[in-house]
Amino acid sequence: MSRIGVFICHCGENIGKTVDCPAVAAAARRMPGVAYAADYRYTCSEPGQAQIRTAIKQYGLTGIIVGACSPRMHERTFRKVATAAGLNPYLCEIANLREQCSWVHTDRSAATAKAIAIVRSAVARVQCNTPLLPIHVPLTRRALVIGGGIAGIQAALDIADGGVEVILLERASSLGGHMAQLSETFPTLDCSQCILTPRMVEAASHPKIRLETYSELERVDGYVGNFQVTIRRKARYVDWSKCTGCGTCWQKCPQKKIAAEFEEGLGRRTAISIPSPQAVPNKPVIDRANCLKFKTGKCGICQKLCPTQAVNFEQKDELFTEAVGTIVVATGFQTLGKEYFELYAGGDHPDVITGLQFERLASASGPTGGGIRRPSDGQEPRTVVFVQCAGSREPATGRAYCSKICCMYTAKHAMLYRHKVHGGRAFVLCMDVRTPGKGYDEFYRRAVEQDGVNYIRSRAARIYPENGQLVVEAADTLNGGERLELRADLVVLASAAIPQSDVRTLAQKLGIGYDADGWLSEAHPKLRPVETNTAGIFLAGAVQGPKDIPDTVGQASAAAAKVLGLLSNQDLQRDPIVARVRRMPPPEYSTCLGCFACAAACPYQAIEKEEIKDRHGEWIKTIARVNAGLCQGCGTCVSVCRSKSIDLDGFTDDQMCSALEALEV
Amino acid sequence: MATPKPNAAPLTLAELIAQATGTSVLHCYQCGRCAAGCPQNQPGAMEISPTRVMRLLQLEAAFVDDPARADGFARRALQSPTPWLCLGCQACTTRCPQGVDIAGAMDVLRGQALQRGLAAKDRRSGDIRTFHQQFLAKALRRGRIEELPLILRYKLARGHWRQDAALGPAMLRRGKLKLKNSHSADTRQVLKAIDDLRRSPRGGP
Amino acid sequence: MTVLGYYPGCSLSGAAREYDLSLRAVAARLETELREVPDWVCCGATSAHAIDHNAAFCLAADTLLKAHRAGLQHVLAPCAMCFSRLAAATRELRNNSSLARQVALGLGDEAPRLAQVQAINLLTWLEGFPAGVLEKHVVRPLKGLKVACYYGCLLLRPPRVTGAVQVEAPRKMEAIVARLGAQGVRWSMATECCGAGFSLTDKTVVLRQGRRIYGAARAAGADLMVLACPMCHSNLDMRQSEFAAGEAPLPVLYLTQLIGLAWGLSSEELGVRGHFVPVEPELSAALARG
Repeated sequence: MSRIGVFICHCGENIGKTVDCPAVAAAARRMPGVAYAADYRYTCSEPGQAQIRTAIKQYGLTGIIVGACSPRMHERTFRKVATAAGLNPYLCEIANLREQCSWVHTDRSAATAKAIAIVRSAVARVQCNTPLLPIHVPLTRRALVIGGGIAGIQAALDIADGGVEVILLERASSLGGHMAQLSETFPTLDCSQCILTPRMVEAASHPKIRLETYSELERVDGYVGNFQVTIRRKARYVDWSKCTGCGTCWQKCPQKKIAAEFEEGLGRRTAISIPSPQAVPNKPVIDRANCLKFKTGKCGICQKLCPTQAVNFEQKDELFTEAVGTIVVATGFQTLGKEYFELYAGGDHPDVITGLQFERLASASGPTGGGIRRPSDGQEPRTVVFVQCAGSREPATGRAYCSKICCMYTAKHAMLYRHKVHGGRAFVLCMDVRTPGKGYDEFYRRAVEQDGVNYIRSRAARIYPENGQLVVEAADTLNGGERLELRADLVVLASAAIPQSDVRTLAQKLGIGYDADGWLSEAHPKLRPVETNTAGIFLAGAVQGPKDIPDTVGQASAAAAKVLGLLSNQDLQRDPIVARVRRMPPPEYSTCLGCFACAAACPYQAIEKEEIKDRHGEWIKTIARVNAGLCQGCGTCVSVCRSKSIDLDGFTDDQMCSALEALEV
Repeated sequence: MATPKPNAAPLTLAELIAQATGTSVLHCYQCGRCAAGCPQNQPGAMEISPTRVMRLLQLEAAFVDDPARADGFARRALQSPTPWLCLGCQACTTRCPQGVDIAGAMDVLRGQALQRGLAAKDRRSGDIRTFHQQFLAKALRRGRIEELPLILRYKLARGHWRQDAALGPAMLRRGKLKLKNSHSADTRQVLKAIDDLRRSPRGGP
Repeated sequence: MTVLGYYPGCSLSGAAREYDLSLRAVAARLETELREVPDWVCCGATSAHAIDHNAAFCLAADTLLKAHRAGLQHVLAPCAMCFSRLAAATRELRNNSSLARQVALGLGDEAPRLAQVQAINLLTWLEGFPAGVLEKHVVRPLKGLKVACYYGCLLLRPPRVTGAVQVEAPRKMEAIVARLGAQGVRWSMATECCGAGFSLTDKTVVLRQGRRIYGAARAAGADLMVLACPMCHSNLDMRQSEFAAGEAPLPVLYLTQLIGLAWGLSSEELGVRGHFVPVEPELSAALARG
């Protein structure tokens, strides 16, 4: 005979305002099988939990129902309470009285009636529950970090320092990402390279970190604790085990006019090249599309001159598979290119540049050696207009979000310009200056008050060339919208941060979610900001949304802590909500007919074939078997099984039917 | 927007604009791009920029429970020459980051200013208004516009006889003006449709 | 012979008759029969929508109805203003707002049926001809000719009405003049409004905008300007002696006229002689330079 306990939570006013909780408890008390029912203002609080523990013991409860918020929120909490009182956690069920009742209704008596029905259904269901035991799965104590920018470097170092081996994957030939391109960093103006390059070297030389640069993720199989990742090591046409990074090849390569990606097109590189002198590893790759040897069959100068015979035009892409227990995704962001901005001088004027291009101009290692020169003629610009929100906060063109980093870097750019160009005039066109962060607003005010940067509250309309300058149409919205035409020698667009163009493909390979803009989705925006909804995969940095360096590093360390926490277990415990093929004693063994419709339907490749043999080893039949390690409990197989031979633990046909029958009033 | 109001209170200008254009001036976040790119937002032309007109419309909506204040803001928008000085070039509508049909809003403001007898009184706004009215009246009456009669009628109403006096003969010489009305089209169906709309409960004036 | 609906609008029957002439001449060589919408009415232009949304909509919808009844699905509206008004009405009919339903009812038809009629502008029509078709008629290649292609406002804006993709730095007209051998210069005022709507009422605007447009075309090294709007033409051609007094003349041609000249059509056939800024001497000189 069941002895069910029912606990109705008011959730403060969230439920209590719309649902008469004492009345629900009173109704529950009269339901068959219920031995105890009570209501409480906050059941998730310690006194609320104590009430449940006491009741379980005092009344010898065989199952409990908590009528509260969504199971996504507190099912785990209350199952722990059950465990603490000696009840199998899977004998605790949640009746969702908040999201599915009080929040969506206004009529108190109708809502109360609905709440009673929900509880009645849950009471019927829990009487069919059986105790379940968590599933133990083995664990690979090794991590993959995808992306070698500051987020990936930080995550990899923290994980490696925790004693766990890391594979650090980067698709460019060098570590560093966007941070390596930056000049100085806000709000301290310390040099980006000076703080980043030591970390790059540290990552490359750490005994627990294996660097895989110029490589990309090909596919992912497996599940938390047991991923198999296939990596494509792209052909470098240089044998890095022989290369010493002496530089002869890239100094002698005749193809010298290729727009350098690292310099955002403002500098040139050779066909065999390293992205910057600070590259880690400091070894070149050949860009096949621009190499004369590949294009015409002639040349091969690099191969002739290489003192270690490292150049190998025959090299091919290599695929290899590694086992890892967890994955950190840290592939970062990109920014809108200026060609996007038709309104701003047609999107192709040399003296309209993006913020990242300005970073290269201002960088001591950049194409101008740190001098601010406009690209068209190399002259020092006497007036620079910085245009904020270029492509951000613009629902009409598809991006409603704020890119978050631009207000600060624009203040920095204007400041750097004022430091470098004596008497130069800097205008910033802004909408709102957003500077939440330690020392951030002070930094912005310093740009205005000490460095004389002129802020004008306006979005730019059209920008067009006239007499060797650029006319920027603006309006002073703090002065009624008075039209101002600014004449500039250089225009810098704080262009929107956008997701990497192929991030959706990556997310699909990993089986993780992304939002409408293409930023990867965290499991909970507040309480689980580095987890994804796929166990064992974590996020770090701007791949999850625009972020500055401090936030990125913070999130990367948080992801590393999650990785280390997960891998500190001997093995993994999983919820035993998995499908099971029904078995019977011989001679039937199972009603399964071996049609394997379930295998075709399973999204997780969790269905295996099992051969049933007699004691002499003679084959009797082949039936389906669920690999509990792979099964995610989605139930698809249950619905396609024609002979009703599969059931889902925790959601059995009995449980579901009882719950539904109890709903009928 | 446009939650139907009880007791059929008059719609705010923002609501009328939403009906006509399908976009809401309440979405305007005052970035100033419309003002920055408007060819008429300059000294000697607009005194109140389009951005500021959008703000006045927002204020009317914000103070809808305080009719005297709300009306004050609405009047400032309606009485301003700005809608009359708008060329209808659609640059603002095209570029608005919030997708507000600003030029469409100006259309509504002109229509409402006329209906409420609040249209700007200055000479230039009056000239423009007269021209629009004469043009539309002629289009509806004859179905076609011919330049010379339209010009003469306008000048008769507003003066300005000396302006461009030399252009007339030059245009006549080039066959660009004709002395007589030479064509027309049947507008009975159009007039009936407009009349139907006027009678319909929701179709407007 | 392809049949295409044709809505000349008031201007092409009056002050812009050379646009009509040159368009018909070009269409004839492109084996297109321009079939005029029977008893079309004025689109109402700026004035109608400026003060009376309903009247503006009814005027345009009436023409669409007449086109529909004549079995015309596509209607070429060479005047940018007419095109804009007809396209806006089609859009409203397609969205099938309650207003659209009522207007259609008032006109004695149904909105979805009326919405089948689509106005097209000159550029859309011309770019529909596959490579080689415009080119094969060229007898006087415009090689070396630098052309400022002027779009003005309503040919492209607002894109939700016109369907244009590139509205701030368009290159469609440039692509067409390139097919005649000429080069469309990059210049800064191609989509700036010329203010022609105020030609009669506020001349200061027209002169100010005309001056900016003329100056930018000159600064970009243009030999002449082409456009596809009668209002813009009357402004930039007729008033050029006012806003650019004493400066080098910049001929202003309808795109159809430039096409006709490249195809060797006569000045009479194209109505080129009616311009205030003489065309032929400048064109010949530019081609000689080029």
